[in-house]
Amino acid sequence: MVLPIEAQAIIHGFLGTVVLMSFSGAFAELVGLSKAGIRRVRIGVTAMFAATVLTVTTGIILYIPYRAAGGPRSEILAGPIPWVHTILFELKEYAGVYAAIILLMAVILVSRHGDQILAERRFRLSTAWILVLSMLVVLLTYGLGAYVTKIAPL
Amino acid sequence: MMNDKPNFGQTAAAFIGTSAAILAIGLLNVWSEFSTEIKTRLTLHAGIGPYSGKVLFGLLIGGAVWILADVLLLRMKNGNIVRWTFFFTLAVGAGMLMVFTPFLRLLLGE
Repeated sequence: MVLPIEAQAIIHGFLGTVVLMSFSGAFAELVGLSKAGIRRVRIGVTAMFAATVLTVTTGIILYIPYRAAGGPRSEILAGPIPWVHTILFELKEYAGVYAAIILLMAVILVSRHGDQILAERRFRLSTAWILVLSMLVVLLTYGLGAYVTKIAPL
Repeated sequence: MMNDKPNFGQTAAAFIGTSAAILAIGLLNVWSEFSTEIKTRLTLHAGIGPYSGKVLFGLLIGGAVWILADVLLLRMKNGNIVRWTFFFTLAVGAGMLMVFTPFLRLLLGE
């Protein structure tokens, strides 16, 4: 069974929202960290990574109709603002994959160095920075995706 | 308590592998802009276009570098997490730049 493109696009956007929402929980736990909290950070960061991988996967599936002849890409390129595809969308395509890779690094840190994150400020700040970095990249991808969809929906 | 610390070598290998994946995707993107032949070769799926090859090969390169680094850094006990995070942030920045079209146009002299 193949879902209609609109439904796939909704799932793609929903998964992106899940990543953004998970961030606030994981980051809040990391800032006021306790022994019990590190487990929740681990769950939160792993959920963010899993949701990002699913978002990227659904994004790649949706990229096929986007790129097809007569699809949104052709529409944008033929219109008055082709830079929406050539600059914004091209950046978004890769930023999503980068976000998943950055979050993989965050998962490794919280999985392997939980005790050090708890005890050492340097570890905690580094992990927090990697989480913030991933979130900046996710926000960029999310924002660009929303803008492109507004210009030329699937 | 100090002996409970996990070996840092595997973490350093993860930093290297993930950075390599990001840089490889960026470099493949730059390379494909300079060569039409590479762009064609990177098109593993007609519907997705060269993006398919850039991402797949980028991830494979990152994975291979990660495994190699894991073997080489097996005995590395300690590492400066701040330095590794800085190195990783630079890799992300470079990766972003290599997929930013105005930067590519600048490289192509357009």
